[in-house]
Amino acid sequence: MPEEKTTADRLAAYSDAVFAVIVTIMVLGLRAPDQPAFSALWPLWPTAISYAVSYLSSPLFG
Amino acid sequence: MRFVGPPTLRLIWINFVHLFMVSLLPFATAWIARTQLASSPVAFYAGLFVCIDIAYNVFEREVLARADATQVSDGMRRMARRRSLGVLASFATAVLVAFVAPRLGFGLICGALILHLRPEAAPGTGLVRSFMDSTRGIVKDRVHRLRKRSRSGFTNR
Repeated sequence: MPEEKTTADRLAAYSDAVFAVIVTIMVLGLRAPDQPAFSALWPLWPTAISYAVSYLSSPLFG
Repeated sequence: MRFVGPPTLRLIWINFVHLFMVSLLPFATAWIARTQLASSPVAFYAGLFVCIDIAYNVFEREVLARADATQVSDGMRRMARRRSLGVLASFATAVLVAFVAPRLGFGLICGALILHLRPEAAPGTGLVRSFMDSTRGIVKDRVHRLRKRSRSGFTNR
């Protein structure tokens, strides 16, 4: 069997897979509040900001 | 997605925003489950769907603007646009309804999602239709030939 030429596609696919796993782990880290009110979302602002920044950074390095 | 050529920066950003909001769905779902369909979580869930659908509409508009008339007909474009706006309106209604009757609001979201899955409004139906038409044409032709043959008493085999 002839050896296949290595292309950058392989690297891109691997990077996509790693970033997909990272985003999944970040999503699992978001804990929903116990109270059924919008005011219960306010204490989560640090989580929301850090999640957004991490999410934004993932494709920049991808 | 198959109608787009090389992705532009605008398309990449729209896709990114869309995916970011989709990634928040597990959070909204967990909140609904934890509070057993309370009104605020359902309204939040519906609001998230409104945001997702706005991004989807922009994305769809961008994709359809790139596809030429041979790929997507005018009728199909109109139908896709109308369906997307209808779904968006349903989600927006679901936000308001959720404050009064959360279960009904949740039902509206389900209805809007089913509307999104309606196959006759999906792009690509033209291809299926042309395939069906050509198959029908072949079958008709065969039947016609068989009739002719049976009329002539299978003599010209």
